[in-house]
Parts: sequence; structure tokens; C-alpha cells
Amino acid sequence: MNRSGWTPKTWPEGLRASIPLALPVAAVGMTFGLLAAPVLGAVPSIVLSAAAWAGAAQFAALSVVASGGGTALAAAAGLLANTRFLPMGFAIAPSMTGGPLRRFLKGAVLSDASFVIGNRGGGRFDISALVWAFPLQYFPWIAGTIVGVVGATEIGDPTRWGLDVLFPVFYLSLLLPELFPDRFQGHRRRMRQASRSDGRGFALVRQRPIIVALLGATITLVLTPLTPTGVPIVVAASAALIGLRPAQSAAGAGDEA
Amino acid sequence: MRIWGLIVVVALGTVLTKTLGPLLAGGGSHLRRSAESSLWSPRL
Repeated sequence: MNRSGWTPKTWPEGLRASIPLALPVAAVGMTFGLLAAPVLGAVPSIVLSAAAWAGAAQFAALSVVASGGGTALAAAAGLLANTRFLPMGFAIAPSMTGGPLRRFLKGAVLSDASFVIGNRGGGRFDISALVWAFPLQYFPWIAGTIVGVVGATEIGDPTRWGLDVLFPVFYLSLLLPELFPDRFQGHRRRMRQASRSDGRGFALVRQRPIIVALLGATITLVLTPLTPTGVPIVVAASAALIGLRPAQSAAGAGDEA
Repeated sequence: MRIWGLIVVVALGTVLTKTLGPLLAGGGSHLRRSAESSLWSPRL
């Protein structure tokens, strides 16, 4: 225990919280390997997973190459899908300690899953939990890609096994604790703490993710048929700007709820 | 060869987007605030 009375036991929490996600991550990685091997080649597919470790960007780039688009367009699609990491990186930064190298390394292991696992509400992040969520996200992703690449001919069409729905289901599983905190006690406790520390009502803190999710889904559905790959994700992320609503008015609304 | 270029660009872009915030936004402001509120005590 340190001077402030906090026992640094959060890294096992990050590792433990990431265990249920390891298998779905491996399965999504396998789907990527299956789809990428015939298009990019076996070795480049595995290297891309190991070097980039960004599912949405990899699928976005792959979809462009597979549909006959140029590599520049594929890279742009991949980078566009990754721009969501910019606000995520700025969100976790204030919770970080250490010099630039340590912050760089901690930022480099950021992923969608670790962002959720490390979230403590009220804009605060448990960086230890976030970092320790990394091993069981990164290595299953690569292992899954290798299995997909190697077994591409045996497994065949991923839609035959329902593997194509795994990617959206994986992201939905990350969002569920935000949307239904009543069913996730640990998450509910953190949200209560966040609402108290920010002077906001719990009811409003609970409603806000639902509003953001619905708005983001609506934006994505509208833009998907109209814009290039990656654009809907970035624009839909703007729904999170609802969180900038002044705490003063939010507190009042929360009290009424 | 173009595929390898694509891999390099996507990989570098990923690292850049993930680390830009932690590098530019500094660190510790929330930890200090948390220590003051004692709701979530940080490692100091």
C-alpha cells in the first residue's frame, strides 16, 4: 500500500477482465486471416496483424484492396478507421504518469477492449489495467490470424461458419456494460462514483451512453451507403461530444430524473 | 511491394494515432485531481 492508501492490485484486474475477450479476439483474427490470405498473401497478412494490431483498420484496408482499390486508398481507409484512437489517446493521457517514453509505450498498447477495461468513469483511466489487458488481446489476435491464414483452404468461406458476424458482436460486447450497468455490478459501481465525483446524477450518467450509442448507430447507418469505408466510424464518434455538456446543467437534469 | 508499403503505412499510422494523445497531452492531471477527491486514489 502506498502513501495514499491505494493498493496497486489493478494489473491482475486488467489481465482477468481481458480473459473472456481473448477467444472472441482470436476468432475475429482468424476471420481476418481467412479473408486476407487470398488477397494480401499469407506472410503479409500475419505481419499486418502483428505490426498494426488494429482490427477495424485492417478490415478497412483489406476491403479496399479486395474490391480492386489502390494501396493508397486502402491505406487511407485504414488510417481513417484508426483516427478514433486520437480522442481515445487524449482521453487516457491525463491518467498517465512517467516520461514521454513510458507514455508512448502505454499509448501503443491501447485498444478498444483495453480502453473499456481501463475506464474508471468520470474521464479517469486505470492505466495498469489498460496495459495488462494488452497480452490477452495482442497474442490471440496474431494467433487467430495465423490459424486463419493456415486454415484458409480448409475453413473456406467464413460466412459459412458465421464468422463474419463476430467483429460487430465483439464491439457490442464491449458496449453492453456501458448501456446496461444494472447487469454489470462492477461497472455500475464505477459509474456511481463517476456521477458523484462530477456532481452529476446517476440517472443521467446512465442515460448518456444510450443516447450516444443510438446517435452513433443512426449516423453510421445513414452514412454507410453514402461514404467511403471508415468515414461512418469517424463521424459517428462525434456523438460522444454529448459528453461535453456542462456538468452544471447535467446535475440539474440528473436530480430531476 | 505495394502490399508491404500498405502494411508499413497502416502500422505507423496506428502507432501514431494511439500515442499522439499520451505524448502531447502530458500526464497526471486526473491523478492529481483523483488524489484530491480520494475517490480513486492513484499510485503516486
